[in-house]
Amino acid sequence: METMPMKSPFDDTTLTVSEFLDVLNIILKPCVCSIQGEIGEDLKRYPNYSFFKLLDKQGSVLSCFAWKASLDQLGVPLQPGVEVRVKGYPSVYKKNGSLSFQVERVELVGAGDLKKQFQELFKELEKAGYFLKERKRPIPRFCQSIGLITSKQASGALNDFLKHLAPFGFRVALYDTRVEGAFATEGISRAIQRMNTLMPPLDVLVITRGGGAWETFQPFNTKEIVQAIAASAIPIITAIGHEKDETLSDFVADLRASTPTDAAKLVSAPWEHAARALPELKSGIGALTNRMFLQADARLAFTRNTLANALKHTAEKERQELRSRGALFARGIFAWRERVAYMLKSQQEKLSLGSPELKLKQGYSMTLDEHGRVLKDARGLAVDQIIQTRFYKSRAVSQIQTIHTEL
Amino acid sequence: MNKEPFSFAKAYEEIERINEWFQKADIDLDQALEKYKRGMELVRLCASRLKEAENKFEEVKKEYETI
Repeated sequence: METMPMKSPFDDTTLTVSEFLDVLNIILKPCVCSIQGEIGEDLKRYPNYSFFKLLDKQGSVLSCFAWKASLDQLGVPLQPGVEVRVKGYPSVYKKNGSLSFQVERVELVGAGDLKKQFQELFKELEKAGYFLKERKRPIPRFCQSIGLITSKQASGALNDFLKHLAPFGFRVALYDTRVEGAFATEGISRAIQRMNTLMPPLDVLVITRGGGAWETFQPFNTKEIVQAIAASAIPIITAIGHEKDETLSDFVADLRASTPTDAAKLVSAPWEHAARALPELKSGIGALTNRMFLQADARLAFTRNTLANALKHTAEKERQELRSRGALFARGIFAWRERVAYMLKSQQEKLSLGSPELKLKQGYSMTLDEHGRVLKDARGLAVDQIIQTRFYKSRAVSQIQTIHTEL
Repeated sequence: MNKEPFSFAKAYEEIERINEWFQKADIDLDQALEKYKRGMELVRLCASRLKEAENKFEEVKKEYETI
């Protein structure tokens, strides 16, 4: 531990109490450290901050002050008697001159407490809807750019992921961050935020680390990291430890891979499938186009036949109709001719009945004057006038002796 | 080729749609020819993209980080 500078920073200046404490606090603030101890009984909780005492087996006591935000990272309320590790810096409270440790981060120590913390935080986050399937973003089918969040120091996960990523020209952007210990939560949250600002945007984020003791996964079981994962605009795949290692990050992630290798395989699989399927798709489209042309050809031939048949049928029908119409017409003509002949004959008969020849034949006779005019009345004739009488087949010429004007 | 950068995902999905179209569509030879040509072009582009094997790896710089 470094000692304070030998030379007093205050020289001979006389300060007020307030000034002295101000300077003292400026000197104390960089003295950031982590301290492990047990939380004392007199724990005072307020809505925005808490006071508590940190104790150790030697009976030493350290007053601590923590803002709500620092305690929220813990995921469970602080309990007296619980072993914790706090990170922060010392400071003197000016109102009463007492030293208090300004807590920036609290971690639980001990597996039993961690399990309990996990269960309680799980319930809380589940209730808040963080683990709902409906809020999970779909992982793009063909991811080309991957944001990888892992540690370069513990390189097992990094190597496994890269080794199993199929060679399809992936662009992998690595954000190196701690994946265990007190600083991991903050580092991973920061990584998620930073990855979300990269241009062009990444297709997917993969948060990964190798296996380890259950306690070492605690950074992935904090409220802070669950919120950071939920807030990411880019979908996230988690691959934390092994299959059996379930963290809250896995529950909130859009997809959970069991291991770093599994994550690489999940991202690669659609590409491998496409590489296999592409030749089939190609020949499939060729064959289907061909089939469509063959179908069109067959349909055309069918239509042609149908059309020809239909035409033949129509022609035949018309021919028949014409034929029957011709017969009807001929019959009509015949009947007409018969009728006309009959009419002619009867007219002829009528005419012949009225002819003078017939009358003469029947015994009537006809008288004409000397000019051959038919005489219908004796008045107008004169005595001694010569008249001619016609019979059926002969005639006589006579001279008028007397004229009677009446019968 | 249009100016939009080639997207393998879009191209591959279009190929799949063309394939589906052929299986479902009524006979339309004009469209069929067009789809065939488009399909073959996309297959060519996708095949050449699938050949670009090597993965690129880079580390994200952190100096632009805030807080």
